[in-house]
Amino acid sequence: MQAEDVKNREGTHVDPGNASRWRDQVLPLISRQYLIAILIVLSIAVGAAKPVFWGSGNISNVLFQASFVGLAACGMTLLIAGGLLDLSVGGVIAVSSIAVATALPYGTVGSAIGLALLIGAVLGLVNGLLVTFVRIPPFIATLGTLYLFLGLAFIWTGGKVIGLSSKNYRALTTGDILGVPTPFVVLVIVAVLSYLLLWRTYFGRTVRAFGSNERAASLAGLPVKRAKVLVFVFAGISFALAGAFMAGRLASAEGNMAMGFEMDVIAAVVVGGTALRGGRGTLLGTVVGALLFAVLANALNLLGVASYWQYVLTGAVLIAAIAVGARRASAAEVRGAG
Amino acid sequence: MAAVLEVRDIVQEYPGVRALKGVSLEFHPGTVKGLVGENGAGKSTLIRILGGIEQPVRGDVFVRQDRKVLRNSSDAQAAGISVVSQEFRLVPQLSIADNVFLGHELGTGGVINKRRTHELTAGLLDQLGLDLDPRRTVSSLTVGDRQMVEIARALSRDFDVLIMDEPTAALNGAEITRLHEIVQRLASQGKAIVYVSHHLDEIFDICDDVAVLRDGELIAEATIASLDEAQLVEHMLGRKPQHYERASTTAPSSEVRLLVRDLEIPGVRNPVNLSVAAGEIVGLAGLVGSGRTEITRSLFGDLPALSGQVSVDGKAVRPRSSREAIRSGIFMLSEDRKSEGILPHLDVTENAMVSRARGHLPTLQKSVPVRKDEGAAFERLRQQMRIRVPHGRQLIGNLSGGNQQKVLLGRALLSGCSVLLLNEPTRGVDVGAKVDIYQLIRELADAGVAVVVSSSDAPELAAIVDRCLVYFAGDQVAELHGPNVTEDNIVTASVGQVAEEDHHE
Repeated sequence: MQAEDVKNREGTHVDPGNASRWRDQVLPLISRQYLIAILIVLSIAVGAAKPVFWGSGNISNVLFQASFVGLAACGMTLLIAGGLLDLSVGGVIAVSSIAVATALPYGTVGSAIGLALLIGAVLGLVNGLLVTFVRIPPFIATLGTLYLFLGLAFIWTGGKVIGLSSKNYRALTTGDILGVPTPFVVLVIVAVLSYLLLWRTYFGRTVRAFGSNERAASLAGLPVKRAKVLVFVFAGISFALAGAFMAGRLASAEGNMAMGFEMDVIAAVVVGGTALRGGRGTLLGTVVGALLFAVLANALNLLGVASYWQYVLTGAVLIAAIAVGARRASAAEVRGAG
Repeated sequence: MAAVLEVRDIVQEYPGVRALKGVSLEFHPGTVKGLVGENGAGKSTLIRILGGIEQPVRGDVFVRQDRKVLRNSSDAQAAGISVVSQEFRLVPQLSIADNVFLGHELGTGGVINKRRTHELTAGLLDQLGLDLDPRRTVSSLTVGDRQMVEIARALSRDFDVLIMDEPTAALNGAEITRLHEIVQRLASQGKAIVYVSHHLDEIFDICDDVAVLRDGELIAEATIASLDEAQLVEHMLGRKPQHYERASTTAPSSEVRLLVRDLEIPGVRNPVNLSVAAGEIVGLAGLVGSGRTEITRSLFGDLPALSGQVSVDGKAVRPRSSREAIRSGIFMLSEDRKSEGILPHLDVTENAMVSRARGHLPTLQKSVPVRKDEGAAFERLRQQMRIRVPHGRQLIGNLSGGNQQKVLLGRALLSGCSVLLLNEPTRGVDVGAKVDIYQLIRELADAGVAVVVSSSDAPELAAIVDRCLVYFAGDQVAELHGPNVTEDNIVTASVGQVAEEDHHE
């Protein structure tokens, strides 16, 4: 994503002098990656104060946390790039995880995960149809379906926790590949796929186009309605995938397993640098944003910060990151008016 | 006479661009100063600085010989500078009166005096010759009326200097005349007026002197009497202007590409009949509200027709959406480039490629865009259309109006359309790019496209179209052919006078 842009600029025939190359290419690269710099600085600082941070058990813990948010945030990034939003994350995760827990005693691990993704797709489709054809604003439509899906989950389970006994399932979802937790590996793969989908396909172009200017996109003949529905379906699948891993980690599923999770997901996307106005989306930023929140939460725990103060600090970081982002964005936009 | 407003050695920089390179100007009471230059010359930047919206990197602003720092627009208003901006800054949900007095509401202790607000607004509207209820919400107004409300808003304040940035871009002939009268009356009352326009005839009509900006520098400043139009254009461009010659050599073929029969369109009184041949450019003239916008929208599937037939290349089509229209070979560019044309977050290459016909592309490119191939396609467009852009990954929002329009014409070209509908193709486009765009339209027609140009700019139609249909209040009142397509004939017919020499029932 970011690195790509720079490569492309070099690929053109324009050859600016050294000084302007520095200004046009290198500086934006550094300033765009400021979030990675913050992440590294934060990790080093916490590691210095509490060496246990770098212990392999702790790092794997952080990566697990980042993966759950990150997986759902991949779908959310595409939605936000299209100027859309989905608040029903917690409901989709609950319903699909409960389906996994219910189905596992009867089927294979693969078919259970397949079922979860299918349910995610169907719930996403419901959201997409409500927004696109019933024309309810995404915020309201998905707030409604959040309650709908949650209610469904509670009715299904009778409000009880469903245990997840399959050893194979737990081994798969909580295991690691070459020392890296499986969900994190899956997150990297999903993030790369989402990037390619958003930036290298006609579908992704349509999503960014209607996120940028919906009226112009439909006048240009782009299949706006179809793409809108599909991007909700894609997001639903990514939420369900996050849910499948969460259920494995918790060894159970229940209605309120992901209550309030949608806000963590949106926070990761926005802190990562995807503007809520739509038109653009950065998957690298989203992954970094998810990592940043996971590291921060972990650090505050290690440092023994009281849990109420953790809320305060997390909120402060969120606001500071957006404030910096807003300043940078407005600096870039001034030229458009010339 | 002492200057009421003066700028000295103003420098403004944006990342990577020097928008103003040390401009000094004086503005005197009672004079109308024209400010001209191509897009990107620095006019808008200068206005934003005078309006307090931007702060210069260097240089000073003097108001009645006192150095003033204008930190925001209320500072500018306090200094007696009122700005009619090119982009509307009205709140669509509020009434006309509320908009006019927005920011300096009449009332005491935070309670607005509605009655007085309405009275004063009614007075201002009356002055502008507008018959509108001050209580109407702005969102229900036409673009022309909104522009007038914007002007009323500027007039509602106490000011010594009135800056008008392309105030007539959205107005029709009668409104323009009225506006010119108002400008001259204000000048005779001792106000200093700064008038920005792309229409040079306006500058010659109402300005006392003129300042020319090019690439952020003041190129010339002179009384209007000492210049003629050719000299002024030469100053603006920095070279002799090219003239667009109407190519009357190639006669349009008889092969009809677009045929419209008895098309009933909401908002147009009589059914529309129209036929456009391959290689022909047909103009639609008429005032705003004459129905020509509805005609192009309807043919493009954006405003579904009630009844009637449309056929493209002999095949009956009934577009119910833009997507279907494009599939059946019709493409349209809207007059509102900003809200209905460009995709501001996408780069110029993607903007040009969004509507590209993929039927004839290799299999891979049918399913995914290939950067190398699209880059090459854009490079061809860039050269063919003389788009001034450093590289294909530039965001389209950063280009001037003329270059944006060229990218959009490129989009139309790549859609492989047989019928192209253009609305106000050169609105907000500067002199240099205008000629380029006329040539491109001609080239598209020569390549066999049937072109329909809907425009409120009569000289433009006279320059480029082969045949011109004039609409008045939803009726086709005249059809002008070949040598009869003149500015005079178009204007006369547009206001409801029937052109004698070529009258069709």
